[in-house]
Amino acid sequence: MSRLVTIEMTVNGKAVSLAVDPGKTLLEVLRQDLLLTGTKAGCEAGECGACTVLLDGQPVASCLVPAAAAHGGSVETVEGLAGADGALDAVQAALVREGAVQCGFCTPGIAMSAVALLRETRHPTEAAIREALAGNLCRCTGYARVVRAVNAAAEEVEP
Amino acid sequence: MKTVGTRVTRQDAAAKATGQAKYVDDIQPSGAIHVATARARVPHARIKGIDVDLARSAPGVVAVLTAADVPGRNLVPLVVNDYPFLADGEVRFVGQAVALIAADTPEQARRAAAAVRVETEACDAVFDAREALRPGAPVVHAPDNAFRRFHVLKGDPDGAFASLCDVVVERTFETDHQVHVYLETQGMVAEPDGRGGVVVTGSMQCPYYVLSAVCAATGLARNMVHVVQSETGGGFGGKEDVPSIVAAHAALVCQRTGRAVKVIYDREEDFTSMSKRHPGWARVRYGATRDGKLVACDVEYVINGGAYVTLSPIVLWRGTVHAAGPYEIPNVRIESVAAATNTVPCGAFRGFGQPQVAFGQESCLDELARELGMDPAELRRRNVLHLGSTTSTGQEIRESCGLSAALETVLEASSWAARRPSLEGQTGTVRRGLGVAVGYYGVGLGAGGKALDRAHAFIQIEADGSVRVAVGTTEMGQGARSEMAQIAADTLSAPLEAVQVLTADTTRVPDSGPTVASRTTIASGKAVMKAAVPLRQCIEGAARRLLGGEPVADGGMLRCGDRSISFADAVAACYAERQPMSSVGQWVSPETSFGENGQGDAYIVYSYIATVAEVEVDLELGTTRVLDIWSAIDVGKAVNPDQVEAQIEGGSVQATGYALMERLSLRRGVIENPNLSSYIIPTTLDVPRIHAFFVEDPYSGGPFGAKGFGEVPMIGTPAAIANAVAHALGARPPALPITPERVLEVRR
Amino acid sequence: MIDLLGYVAPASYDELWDVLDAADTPVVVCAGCTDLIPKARAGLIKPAVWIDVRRLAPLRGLVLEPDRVVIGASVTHHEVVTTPWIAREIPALAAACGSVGSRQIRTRGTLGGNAANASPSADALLALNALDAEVVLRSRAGSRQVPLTSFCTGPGATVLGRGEVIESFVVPRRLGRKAVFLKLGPRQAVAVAKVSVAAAADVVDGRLRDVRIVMGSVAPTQIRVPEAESLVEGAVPDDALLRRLDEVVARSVRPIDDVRSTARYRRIASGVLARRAVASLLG
Repeated sequence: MSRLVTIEMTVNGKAVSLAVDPGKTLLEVLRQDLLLTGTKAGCEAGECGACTVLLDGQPVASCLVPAAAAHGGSVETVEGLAGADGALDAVQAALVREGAVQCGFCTPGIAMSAVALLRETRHPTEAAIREALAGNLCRCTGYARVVRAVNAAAEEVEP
Repeated sequence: MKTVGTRVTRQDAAAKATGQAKYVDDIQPSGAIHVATARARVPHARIKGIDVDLARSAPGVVAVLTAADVPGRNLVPLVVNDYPFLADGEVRFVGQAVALIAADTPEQARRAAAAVRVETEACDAVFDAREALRPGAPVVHAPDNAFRRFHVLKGDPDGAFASLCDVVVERTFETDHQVHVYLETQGMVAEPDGRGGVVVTGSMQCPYYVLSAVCAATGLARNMVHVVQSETGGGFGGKEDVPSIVAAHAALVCQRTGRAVKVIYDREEDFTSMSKRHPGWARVRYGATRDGKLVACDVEYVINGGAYVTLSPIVLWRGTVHAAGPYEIPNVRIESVAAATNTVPCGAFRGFGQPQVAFGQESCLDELARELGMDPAELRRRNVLHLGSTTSTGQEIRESCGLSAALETVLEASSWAARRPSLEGQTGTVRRGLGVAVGYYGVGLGAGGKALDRAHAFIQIEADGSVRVAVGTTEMGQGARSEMAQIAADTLSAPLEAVQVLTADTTRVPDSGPTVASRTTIASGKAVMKAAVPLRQCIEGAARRLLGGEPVADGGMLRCGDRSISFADAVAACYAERQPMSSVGQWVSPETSFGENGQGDAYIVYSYIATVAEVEVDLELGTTRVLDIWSAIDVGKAVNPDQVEAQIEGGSVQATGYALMERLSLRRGVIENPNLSSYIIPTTLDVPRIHAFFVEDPYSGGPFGAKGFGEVPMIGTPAAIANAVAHALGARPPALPITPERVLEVRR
Repeated sequence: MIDLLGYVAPASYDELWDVLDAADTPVVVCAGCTDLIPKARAGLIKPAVWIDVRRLAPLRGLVLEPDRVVIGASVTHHEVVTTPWIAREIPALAAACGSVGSRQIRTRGTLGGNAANASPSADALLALNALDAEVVLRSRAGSRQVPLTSFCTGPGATVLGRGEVIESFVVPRRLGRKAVFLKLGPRQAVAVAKVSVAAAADVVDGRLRDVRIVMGSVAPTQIRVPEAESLVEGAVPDDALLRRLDEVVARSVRPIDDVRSTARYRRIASGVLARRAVASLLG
């Protein structure tokens, strides 16, 4: 029987405090304890990127982050991207407009990776976009429209 | 204004981009118990006993089920019903489900599953298809390990090879398993409905297949089982038949315990137990006259079906019908067989038995071109099917054959005529190659699946002018929902935004047949159009009365002269007149046949593809990069050009993986790489530039002339890549995937 | 969920030693956890208390000193890739760290973890080996510094004692020295190496001096190839010499067949990659 660990972190700007089994990953805490099911479990081995969230602004595979390691940190998930009025953020809107969403299972992870990239690099080259998204597998789209969408979102982000 | 033919933004994309779309694991019924599956660890054995005592008494365990606990029939209803939901007396493949363990948490269920003891007596096992067919091989499927054989004979191939051919080329080719790697693994939720029935929700392509399976296993009547498709994260055929097993498992536990049940496979379990593309072996022989006219073709095609029949007869049938390639050939023999082995049962995967043999025959055709000293594009030009041609099964192509146009499109776009010769005489350790391949694909279930090839649709127009469309075919990412909405909107003259396509729920949508064989566009599309006709007549009638003249549809408005009313107002008028505002439409496939010697009109229509690929091969390391793919598909009519391109883009990348890097490693029936770190699919950095084109040669039986085409990229494109590699290497890789290891072998 | 008995993050060495000493359960030292969690899921790590060392200041440094570079054990691959002076100073290490997994993995994965995991296919480890790095190991008793090339003793095995942690890597600075890292995987990104090579040398009047050639994924540990190094030591590597180097390396490695590749292929590819790496040192 494991002792519970207390985790205090912010999730999408909101302070959260939980007592969880130390063996839980951040992905499990997000999906099961916080009911934020937008972040997906595709392989639970850090290989597919469907579980990508931002931890202190950086993209991580949340299936490989012990929830306890997020203590004191700030987590952003896909649920935090859209505006309070439900308006899609630039990356989400571009993915939709460019036809880059098919089955949609990889989409939240891709959105988070793209958001992180655009915060770091205002106008990334195509090569930089592909490099940043190499850890997000997609089986439906062939990536062409995803890359176009991230590029389009980059053009829109205010200088 | 029509939406068909225009680029339409999918309505379901926003919910997916915000994370609001609900996939099966996002559904968390309170108090749900979780199921883990105890699976066979040996490839072939008699079961002497299953000891579940330890498992039953493990912490958190609520129930343990084996074959003995199946109240209904313990066989998956499909083609030949031989696949038990839970192993009964015998195990035929490593990974076969033997027992279900339900517990309060997934971890408890998994731990308890590991405590199930299966006592077995090993039997001899066989893993290779051709070995399984030899006399004396261990018997997996009585009597001779042949699930099915087909035979096609047109003209006199023996005579033709003997005396009519100037050049004859024969080669043998092989392909490995391919794994779907849908991003969302298999999963089902089953809940009691409070009235003795069960509601099953999950990831699936075919809700009515799942319905049949759950009824078979539980013994419940069809009107006591309610199946709902949750947002499905990819299928590619991998969620055609095997979700029936997952669903039956969930339903059995639900029925036994009265609890809500979740069964969610992790990636490794999904790899180990779920269906795959059949490995293939093909011996192909082409004979031609000096001028490059194909005179004869002989193909022997063997696929490895794995341990149970599943869809192998139909996969084999489709592969057989298309095995000679999309060419006018007067003399053809095709002999094919699907073999049983002690490996994971294979099933449907985009292309459904064609990609394997298409690789073989397009590669062999390139060898023929080489023997003839002819450009491979020119050889194809001289032989491709056109209007008036007859296929290997003697079917005359009467309409909708855009293959030549597709071929010319990609040859021009790739500057084939200039590029190909410019690549002769390369020295250096990095070489480029240019390859071409063509393919065809019989749309729908064809003569091999007649009984299922019908579709129903319901349309209900609400009092406010909003529209519900119900079809039993499903959305799995390919854009089916959006396409049905366009077809309904245009046929009704309704605004596109007013049309909602319902979630596939067997209490709400009719059986439109399975979502397979690229049939949705035609089958469900035509059913929707039929359902729309009487409704549109009502609405036009009301508009005529209100406008005082013939109404012309224009977006969401109906106009006559300078007067207009909205679709919604016309609907309101119909309601006021108490007109019926819901309707049923039915489509039944036109006749198809496959008679003696495999002659007949095998499919109602074909879609066609031509692909050119340019590759760069590092001769020292054997590594290949695909630089460009030019691919054109005759789709009849592009309902949404964005979606046609999307299928070509996605399909071309899946084809790249199949051609170069996707290799399932099996040893004595054990999958050694059941994970994404060693079963390799392309990332963003592994993909070529894709130039997607479509050609429109309308099919009179399709909605607005459209045909289905989602699977076609897997048929032309791996072969084009292989031909490009062969061009670069000056040697012919005889197997897919063309890994660096194999390239170095070919060069030795 | 994995089977953890606890998760603690000591803030100082004293706290760390206390936790290690007090533990009556197995302990696992962790940082980014990107190798540990998959291992735990596969049942390869017994239930233990995981001790996160990322708060320890001596493990976080990334310091350019006059005669050496000191990189703390919990520095991440992403930090290495995005620190401009590393790209200038030791580009081979930046290349190696940049080839690890995906952006998501590089955010969390650390150089210390890369070394402690002791996989022959490790990327950062290979570059550090070719750069003559030493590793500083710390315990309650004090510290010791060992050549990184003797740190790993086999796949998954190191000389780390109980109660000992990796503190940092020390890379000597050598003006004008060239180094290169080449990796061959089953695809362009997010891949475990089938074969990898890191090479380093001084280039003096067009000749290679003090050559290092280290091979990854082709032996139980990452190995230098002394015969190949001697072959090109002091030489102007022309095509003929490079071909001989290729043969020597191909002969010297001890690859295996596994799910990723074959011994035969790895042997050939080792020679090719080593030849290309050494050739690139010159220009």
